[in-house]
Amino acid sequence: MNDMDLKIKGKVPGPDSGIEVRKSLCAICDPNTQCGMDLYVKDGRIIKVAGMKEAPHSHGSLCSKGAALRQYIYSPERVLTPLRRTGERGSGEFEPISWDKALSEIAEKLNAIKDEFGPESVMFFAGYAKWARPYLTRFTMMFGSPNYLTESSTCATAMAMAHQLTYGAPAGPDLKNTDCIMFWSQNPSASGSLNLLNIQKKLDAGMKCIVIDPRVIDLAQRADVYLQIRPGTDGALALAMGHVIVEEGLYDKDFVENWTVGFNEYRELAADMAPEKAAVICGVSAADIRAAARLYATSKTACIQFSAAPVVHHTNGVQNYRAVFCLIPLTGNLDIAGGNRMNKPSIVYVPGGFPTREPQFMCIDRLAGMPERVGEARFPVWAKLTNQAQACDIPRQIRTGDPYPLKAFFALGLNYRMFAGSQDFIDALCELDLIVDVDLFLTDTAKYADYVLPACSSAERRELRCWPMGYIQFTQPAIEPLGQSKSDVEILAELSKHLGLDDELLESGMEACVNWILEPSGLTVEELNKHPEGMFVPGAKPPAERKYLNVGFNTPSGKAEFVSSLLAAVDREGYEELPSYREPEMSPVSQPDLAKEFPLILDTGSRLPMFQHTRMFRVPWARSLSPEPHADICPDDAAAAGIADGSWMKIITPRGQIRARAHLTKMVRKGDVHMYHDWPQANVNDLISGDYLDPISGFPGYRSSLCKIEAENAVEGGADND
Amino acid sequence: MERGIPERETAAGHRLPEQVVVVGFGAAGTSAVMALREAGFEGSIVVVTDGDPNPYSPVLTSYYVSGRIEREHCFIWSDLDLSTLVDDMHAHSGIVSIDAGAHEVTLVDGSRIGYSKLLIATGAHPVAPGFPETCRYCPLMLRTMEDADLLRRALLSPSCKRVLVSGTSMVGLKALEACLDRGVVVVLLGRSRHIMRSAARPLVAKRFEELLVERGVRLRLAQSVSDVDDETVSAGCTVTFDCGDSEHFDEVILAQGTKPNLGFTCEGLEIDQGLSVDEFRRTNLPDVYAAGDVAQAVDVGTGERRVIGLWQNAVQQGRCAGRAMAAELLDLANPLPFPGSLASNTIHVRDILFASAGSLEEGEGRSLEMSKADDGTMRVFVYEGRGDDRRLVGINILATTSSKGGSNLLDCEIGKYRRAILNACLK
Amino acid sequence: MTRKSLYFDVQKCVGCYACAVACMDQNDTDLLGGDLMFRSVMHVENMEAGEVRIAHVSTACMHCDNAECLDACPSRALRRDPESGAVIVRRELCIGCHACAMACPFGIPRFGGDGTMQKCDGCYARTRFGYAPACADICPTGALSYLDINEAMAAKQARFGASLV
Repeated sequence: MNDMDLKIKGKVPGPDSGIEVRKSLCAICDPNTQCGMDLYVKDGRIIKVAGMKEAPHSHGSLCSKGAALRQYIYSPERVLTPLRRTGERGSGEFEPISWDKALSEIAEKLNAIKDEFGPESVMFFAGYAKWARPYLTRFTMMFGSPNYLTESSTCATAMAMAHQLTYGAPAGPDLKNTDCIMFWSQNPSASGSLNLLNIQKKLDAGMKCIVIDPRVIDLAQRADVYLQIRPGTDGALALAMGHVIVEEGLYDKDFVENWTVGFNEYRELAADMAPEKAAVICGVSAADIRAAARLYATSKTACIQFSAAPVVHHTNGVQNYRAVFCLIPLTGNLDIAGGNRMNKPSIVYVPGGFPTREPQFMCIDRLAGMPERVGEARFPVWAKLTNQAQACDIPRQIRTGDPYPLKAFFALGLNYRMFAGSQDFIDALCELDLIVDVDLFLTDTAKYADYVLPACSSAERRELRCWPMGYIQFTQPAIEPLGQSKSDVEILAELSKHLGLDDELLESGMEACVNWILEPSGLTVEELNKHPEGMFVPGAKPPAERKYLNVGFNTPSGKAEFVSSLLAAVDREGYEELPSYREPEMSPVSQPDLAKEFPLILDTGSRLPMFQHTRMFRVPWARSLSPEPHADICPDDAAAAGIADGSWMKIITPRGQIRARAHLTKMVRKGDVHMYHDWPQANVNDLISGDYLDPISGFPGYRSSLCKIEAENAVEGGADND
Repeated sequence: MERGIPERETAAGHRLPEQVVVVGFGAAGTSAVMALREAGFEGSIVVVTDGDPNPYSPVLTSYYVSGRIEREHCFIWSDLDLSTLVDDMHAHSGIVSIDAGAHEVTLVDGSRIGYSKLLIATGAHPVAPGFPETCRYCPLMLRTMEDADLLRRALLSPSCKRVLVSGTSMVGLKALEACLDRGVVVVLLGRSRHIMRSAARPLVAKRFEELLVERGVRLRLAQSVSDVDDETVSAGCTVTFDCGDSEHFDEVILAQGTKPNLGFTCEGLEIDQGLSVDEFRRTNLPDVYAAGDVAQAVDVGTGERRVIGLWQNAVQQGRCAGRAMAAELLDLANPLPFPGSLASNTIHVRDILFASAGSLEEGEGRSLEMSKADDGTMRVFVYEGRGDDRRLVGINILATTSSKGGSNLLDCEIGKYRRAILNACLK
Repeated sequence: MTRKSLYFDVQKCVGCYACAVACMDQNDTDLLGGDLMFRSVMHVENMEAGEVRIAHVSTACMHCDNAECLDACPSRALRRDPESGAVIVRRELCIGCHACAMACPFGIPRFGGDGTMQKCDGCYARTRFGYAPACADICPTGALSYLDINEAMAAKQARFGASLV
């Protein structure tokens, strides 16, 4: 081969090979962890992806999901024109129609529903990616509906609520400056893996590490203390740690005295949870609990790395995480370098150290005059702490019409299988007059839509994103949108016009919106366009320490609250003002009779590194790494059930059963079944009732319910779409 | 014609002749020449070969016959211009004698060439036991490029419809595949009850036979040729088998084993089945080396010395000899010895893939394990010893590439098994 | 010129599979069309003093100094790239005889839909022009790295030194 052929084979960029590197980003996962991306383009097509070296968060790396982005973009399953349903809902029978016709018909129907039932009868939902959420929020408000909802009805929000209830705002771990980090149910090997290098460097430099996880994750092996707890008992463990810290006088007396309320009540609550008691509840040793408590409390600085979902995917989730987060003010590790720090988001949840007008752009203040949101009565604290409706309450309200009828659902991406009792959820949606789904693919959910509008991928549109180190990027499209697909924001802007919302700003396009949002930062689109790879924001600064000294905490008392005023104001079961420990609703302890037939704990939702929920299922490069639904079980439980590694087994709950391959691993506790979620042919979420919810957050108790497993002789798996 | 031998000066100031003669230019000969040059030998290299100066790979000839590859594809070193490594090339030639005392070989044309080191890498030729030599019909073989040209022409002839392949080891099966590719009716004749007598366990061989039958092959096993009649037929011959049957074939292909090419005289040279050599490929005569199919090697599976006619062995033996000669000529440190060979092979016939390694015989202290996967893949493991001392000594795997994942599992396994056997044997 | 090589550090690997996918992206691996992935990532569990030890190993062709596959290939479809030292396969010359699979102790050679062998080529077409192999380029933890031999040795020694303290 000559050099030219070699360069083309090696995909070496340059004028001679005709391969150009275009700067972009990966939008597969969460904005907090997304990576900068180099897209290698030749003749208008992406031929390779790589990490963007300039990206300060990802320093030129990608995870397996990002690495597979090319196959995601060029999937033969992309929807390339607007579609109108011709067959039954769910049948997948559609006809292509023009954009103008699709948007006109949708607008006509939405306006008719609005006229007859009020704007609140239309729900607007955002799935993944999260980038367009500010625009959808604004759109929903402009339409006049209070019902802006997102997949955050089962992800992250409850975790944020636990922070907010305790000290007013989420406080993230300051890994860079800490002496000790406590990973509380977060596995960086499978999720947010780009942070691993930073973690490993800190560990190499002597940072102490505590890992709390029902599974022996990689990091557990490098931990000074590892606690393999029973799923759903985090609250008991946290209280026992509090017990040790208080008993041994290791708490920050000054901070507790001046900046917290309810310490005496908390002390009494913790006094009742001796490590020996928690050891029995959690299935760990009291000595390890003491060791973890001492290490966390006596390290000069210590922080807690929490996770978005695992701890709050229990029916006692918010209180459990509240118990965990109480350790932060207890030890004075709140809002200090090396502790857990508060930082205001700049763009789509991510703090960039610079001010924006994103909250104003979203027009949330309009909520004030609107009818109550879906789920507001059932989850009053949710409604106080968020500006969203709680989607887990949708089926109930559709079926009862209480407090008002729901008629239409408009989604920027939706996977109905993400909800507990998934079939009930989609069945309820089918009672609506109109379903519109904007998606890249004709997903199983999209098949239920009356109209499917083709969205384009991150490589085909512009996207604004920032990173906590004060870095910002406003991407350029690397390639033309495939087929007739469009950016979600463009779709919203055009629909706004068809609806006659008269939203001049949104309708004038994304760049105008970005200029408006960024106005306080001094940044402009013109400036950002000069830096396709992104840039450090001039003047961006890391958050100050101890901001509470000036402004207090954003709680009703202005202090960190061991006793929550907001919970105290609601007189309902589960709304205890202290983070007291309750068993998960379905556990071997809370339901011993049921546990006789269903002796194992069903824990769902753990991540595999090649998937982001279902997002990479249809991508062969990712799917080949884990082609079939499987559950992690421990060899002892497998042996007892006569199940061989790799064989098909049944996972059975009182609601039904699914088939999955058994993966025997010593990573999991005896008695736990970790089933990976979202498999179309083995939808574990349907084994859990849509009403199996945390009473505070409305989050499903995915991570602890009861099940049993049975061996099954090998047969081929079922249909396999999502 | 006599060629002067260039000289070199030793450290002690003696002047010594420095010329390496390599007889044979196949896998072993070419590898030796390349190894000599890689080791820094800059003296003269003379090559004497009965073939073309541009050597070919005999393993590829069946693929050429079947039409899977072009003829020039067999000349696998064409891109290297090996002639630049060689000072003097005697193609289409050969040696008639070696005078080890005088350090001289005599070529077929009577010319003599002196050497400081001599490598015999003349290879082997097919034998035709049981086929009457007096027969007018000349059976086909598959070894040299000329054999392949003849066979290909024969199979391409429109009159060629029925072929008898005699011999059930590697070459026979590859000839059979070529026949299948060319769309002729094939009968496979073997003297043993099963094909691949030395490489396959009977049960595996039986399954292989079934797969062949499914692909249209007719088998005559445990039979031999008792008579060949080429007088009463206009073309081809009528073969009578020892069971009494007679059949007419348009062509007969003989693939019944090979013998080393030892068509020269050399006083005192120790010859067993092939030339006897030590671990540096040295024969019993000073400065005379041997490598490839003409020479024996230690079968590490059994400890026996025998000829193991495998491509990889020939390459490695040739390289070993080249390095050993260079080491002595250039006063280099001792090169790596050639530890011996493990009988191992993969045979691919259409979509059937068979792999074997090590020793497959049953015997005292040996045990067998056999498994058959859902996709039909068969595995046989032969162990020696018991308990903790148990070690793998032989494997058979049979799969079809059409079976789901079968062949790729096999590919991932076989090398590891071979290495396990080799390590256990060398320990 | 000092030669660079691919190094794998099992201590740093967390089994994220980025290397395996980056390899497929670089090589346009068409899995549905019968191509096979060159790099595999394995999850290994052992018990050590009553505790489970988990490790991940990312492997592809080792490009052995003494590559037996090179000797085994009867069609010279396998060659060593003189500049990078990588063992590369010229699939147009491969006859699909599987001899390399028998010779390789690591189970590397695979045969795709067209019956020819495919495997990692060390990204020699990238390293030739100063780019790291795709797998090392993407690795988020530095478990796979493309290093000068001396650098790699120094890193190894530093780790050894640290283990003594």
